[in-house]
Amino acid sequence: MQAAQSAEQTEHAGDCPRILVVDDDDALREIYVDALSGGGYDVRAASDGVAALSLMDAGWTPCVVFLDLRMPGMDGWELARRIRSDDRWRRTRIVVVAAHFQVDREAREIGASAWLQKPFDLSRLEHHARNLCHG
Amino acid sequence: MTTLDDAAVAADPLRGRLTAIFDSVADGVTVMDRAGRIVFANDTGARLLGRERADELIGMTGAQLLGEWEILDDAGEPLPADRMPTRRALAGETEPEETVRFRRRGSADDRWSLVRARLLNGGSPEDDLVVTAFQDITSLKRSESRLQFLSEASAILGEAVDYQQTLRRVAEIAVPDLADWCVVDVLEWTRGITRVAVAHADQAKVAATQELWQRWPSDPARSGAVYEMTQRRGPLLVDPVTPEMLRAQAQDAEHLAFLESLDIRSVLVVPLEARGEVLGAFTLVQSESGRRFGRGDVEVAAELGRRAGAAIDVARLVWETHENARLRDEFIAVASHDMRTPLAAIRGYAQLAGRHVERSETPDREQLQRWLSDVDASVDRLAHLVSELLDATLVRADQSVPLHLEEVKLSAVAGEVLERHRPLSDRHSLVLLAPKDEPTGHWDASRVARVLDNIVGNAVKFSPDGGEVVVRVGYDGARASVEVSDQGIGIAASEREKIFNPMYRGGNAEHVAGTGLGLAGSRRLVELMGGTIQVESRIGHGSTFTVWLPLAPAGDEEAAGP
Repeated sequence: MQAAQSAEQTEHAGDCPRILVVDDDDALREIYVDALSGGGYDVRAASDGVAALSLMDAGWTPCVVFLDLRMPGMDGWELARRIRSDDRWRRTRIVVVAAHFQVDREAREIGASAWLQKPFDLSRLEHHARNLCHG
Repeated sequence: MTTLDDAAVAADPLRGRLTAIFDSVADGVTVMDRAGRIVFANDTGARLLGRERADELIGMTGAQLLGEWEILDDAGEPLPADRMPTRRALAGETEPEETVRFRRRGSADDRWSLVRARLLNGGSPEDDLVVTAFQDITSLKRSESRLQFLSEASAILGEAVDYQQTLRRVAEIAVPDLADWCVVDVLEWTRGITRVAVAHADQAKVAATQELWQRWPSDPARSGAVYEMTQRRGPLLVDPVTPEMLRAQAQDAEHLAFLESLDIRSVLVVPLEARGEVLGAFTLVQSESGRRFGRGDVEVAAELGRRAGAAIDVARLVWETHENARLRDEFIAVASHDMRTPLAAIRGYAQLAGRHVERSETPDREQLQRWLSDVDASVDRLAHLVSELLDATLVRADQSVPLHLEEVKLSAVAGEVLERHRPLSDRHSLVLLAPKDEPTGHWDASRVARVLDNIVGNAVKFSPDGGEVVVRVGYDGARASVEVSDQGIGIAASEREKIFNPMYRGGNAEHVAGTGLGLAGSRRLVELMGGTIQVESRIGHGSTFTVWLPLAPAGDEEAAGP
């Protein structure tokens, strides 16, 4: 675990840690990006699984994905499954950010590192970003 | 005309008259000698033994008759020859009696007789005769078996938990006592007609009808057992089934050959009915047994249909109660989910603004203003959700919805709805068409928007390959209309009315659940404003939903609610 994380740091040496935000809600994407940008991250946003996947496929590998579950097109469950089954993204962590009633259970099932239930305090977003990218 | 011996009759008019008397009695009578040869039979006896005239029997032996007939006891077990009353009388038993069930070898057309025999002592064994009387009790036995069937079926139907399984069991016990085939079709308001059961003693034949049904399906809106029953609302007896009827039914030559191979002789269809509504049909068929349906069968089958209908009705009510509870739970879960999103935005903007003020010496007033107006917009979204939720709840509970009628231009409402949908799909082009001289009407703008939102949302969802969604505003004298056309997958004719059923769940069931109105709620809201919703569709070409609203505020009183 420790070794994997230091390898990731080396990979991103010289760059800011990359964070990907995936949510179909325009307002929430804007808020997440705003809240994280001040922390020295390279933050990008995608409105569904397809857009997120095409960004990552192009070689932009984030250290953490803040992921909504219910989205039109490719939803969060499917995107998580694709990330987890591809070796290129073995170091990418997922934080489920959803309005679900049982978000903790969903997060466990898709192998996420953490979860946040909407509405949440923005400091929680930064806390997870810091923990998972700088571990 | 039957004789012991023609010459003897001619010589003895008394014997001739005796013969005539025997011919007129209702029971079949045969007389045998000790060698087992028939020396006399009356006409009824001849008919019971499958002969047209009694003299065809004279000289035949009991053993020859046994070769033609299978003889069973009342329970259907083979009856040993020494239990036959004729043999027992010869063995010295006084007036033996037995209920005998018999059928021609290879046939399933069972008949019953109460058989009595009596030895006429001739003084010497070679002059002894045995008189055997057959009382035909077939119709009595059949009524008995029908009553027994009804009572067994009622017991099964009384357990009605899973009504489909129950109907399968009823079909199984109907065969072979009542019919050679039994088919049960049920009209489901969610999925059209379901063939719940096909029963036949021979499993290979069951497979054959399944094939028949799949290869040559009938259009449930125009033909088939259930259609017939909804039209006629009573039993249908087709007896006998003629080759012309099969030809009229057949869709092609192969279909005809298939139908002919089934050897259908007689068909009886009865409705499954409850509270005046046809819920399905029982189809009973007589084929290879050679039996035919009679009035007694019609009565029993009709009664069965009523009892089965009641059982289905009860099972559905139970199911609906559970389903309603489940939908309500799902509704609450989805509602809380949907409201959390704007709440998260409100909190997010407020926190961004708070931090900004905290961290900057000179806060950026414009930025703060933007965040505040974003909070405002999110509150709007939340308020919209809450009132939508309230509408959906009232409509589901069939309660009146307070309307806010105001002067509205439909193109303005439709335009806003399309703007909301535009960012959600880049595969669809959303087009609004409206006449220049479009009149205004008095409607509840937010409700009209909600209805259109629903219909446009469906148009997008059910045209997964994209294409145009055209919203056309129009009017024709007293009414205004909004027509929403898509180029999507279309809706089957059999589904077109069902989509407006509150319990309807489309193919895409997980998305049907929600806090939205659904089409049922949309139709109800439109009706509250004095209008209607219609749908036209072609499979593979798309659907058009048209909302009609009255231009004159005629429906105000009823629309305004209590």
